[in-house]
Amino acid sequence: MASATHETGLKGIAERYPALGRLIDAVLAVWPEHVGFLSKSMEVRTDALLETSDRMAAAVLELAASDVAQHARDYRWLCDQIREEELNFVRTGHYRYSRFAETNANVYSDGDFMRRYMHGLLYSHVLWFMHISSLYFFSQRLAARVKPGGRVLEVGSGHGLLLFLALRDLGMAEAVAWDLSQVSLDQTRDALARLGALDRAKFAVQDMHKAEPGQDSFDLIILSHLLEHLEEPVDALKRLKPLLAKGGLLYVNVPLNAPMPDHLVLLEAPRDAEEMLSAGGFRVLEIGSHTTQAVTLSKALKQKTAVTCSIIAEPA
Amino acid sequence: MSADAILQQLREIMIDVLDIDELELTPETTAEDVEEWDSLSHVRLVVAVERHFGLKFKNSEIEGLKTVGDLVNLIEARAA
Repeated sequence: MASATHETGLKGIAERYPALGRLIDAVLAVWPEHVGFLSKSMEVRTDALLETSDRMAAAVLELAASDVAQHARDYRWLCDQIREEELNFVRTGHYRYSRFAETNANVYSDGDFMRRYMHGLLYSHVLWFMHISSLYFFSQRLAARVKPGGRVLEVGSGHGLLLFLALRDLGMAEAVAWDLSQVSLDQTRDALARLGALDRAKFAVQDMHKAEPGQDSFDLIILSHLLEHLEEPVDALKRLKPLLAKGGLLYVNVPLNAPMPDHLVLLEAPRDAEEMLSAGGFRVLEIGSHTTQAVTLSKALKQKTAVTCSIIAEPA
Repeated sequence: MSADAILQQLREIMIDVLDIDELELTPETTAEDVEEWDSLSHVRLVVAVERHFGLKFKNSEIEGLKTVGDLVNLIEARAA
């Protein structure tokens, strides 16, 4: 009975938002039991958030290209991986690994694992409330603060979705992607090419911990789901601060209580994230907390379920 | 411990973990019957049960749970 109600609700969403409907259908085709989660994730979204979801679903499906079904299987696999991490997290109160050498040996160096992991995360950008809500925050809140025409840097740009939004929605003139891995940069390049944004993008293999003051200048620096992967996030922030142009802004997405196989830094409350940025030399201007399935922040913090904090900051 | 006693204790644990006021629980109850019992709360529920009964479940045992009765039987078998 409950499943039928969920399916009816999702069918109504698919009629109004066709790309979102296609993505949901692709996942339910390989994971019908996920209907309850997806239904809940959609029913808490406002019309504006559903419109953003539909636009991002179109982008995500474009990136998945002819491999939509395999990405759906990899999304299910990712959720299975996370469930194991959640079990470990609730039992121990810690993430599984605390050193980069551990995540490098057990996660990053496993090509097949990383491929499936990235595929799964791609769909999560749309299907998880906290991820789509943070994308919405990025477009809406930065549009109010960033002047069009500037240069944006993203370190660890992954699927390139934020650089794409910075170029398309924020009207930035040039996007620069840094990564330690040429393979990752190539993935970002392919993604931006598919999304039609390659002509204004540049790519560089660059260790941000070795960035030099004055080597470049940006009006916006994006660190999205990056700091939690680092042993020394505060050092990274200090290194990047001199690269901001006058009036430039830092945008950070960082999760709380989010056990993933490659997360090292456990933050438990928004104030932990603010303190990290403050230690790195930044003043927080605005912070948005996006909870799993849109539960209240107090409930998410009490139950230690995952939250994404989106932070806009300026040099202190 | 009898199955009825385990069921009663499970009910108390679930009310606490799921943050609800009342819960009618039978061996046939499934997650679909309780709105707050989703994939996210399931992990917290399993660990709360482990702590209460002094057990640690294997992943395969957790994945095999379909009804409250399955969980009662598992606790009964492991506590024996």
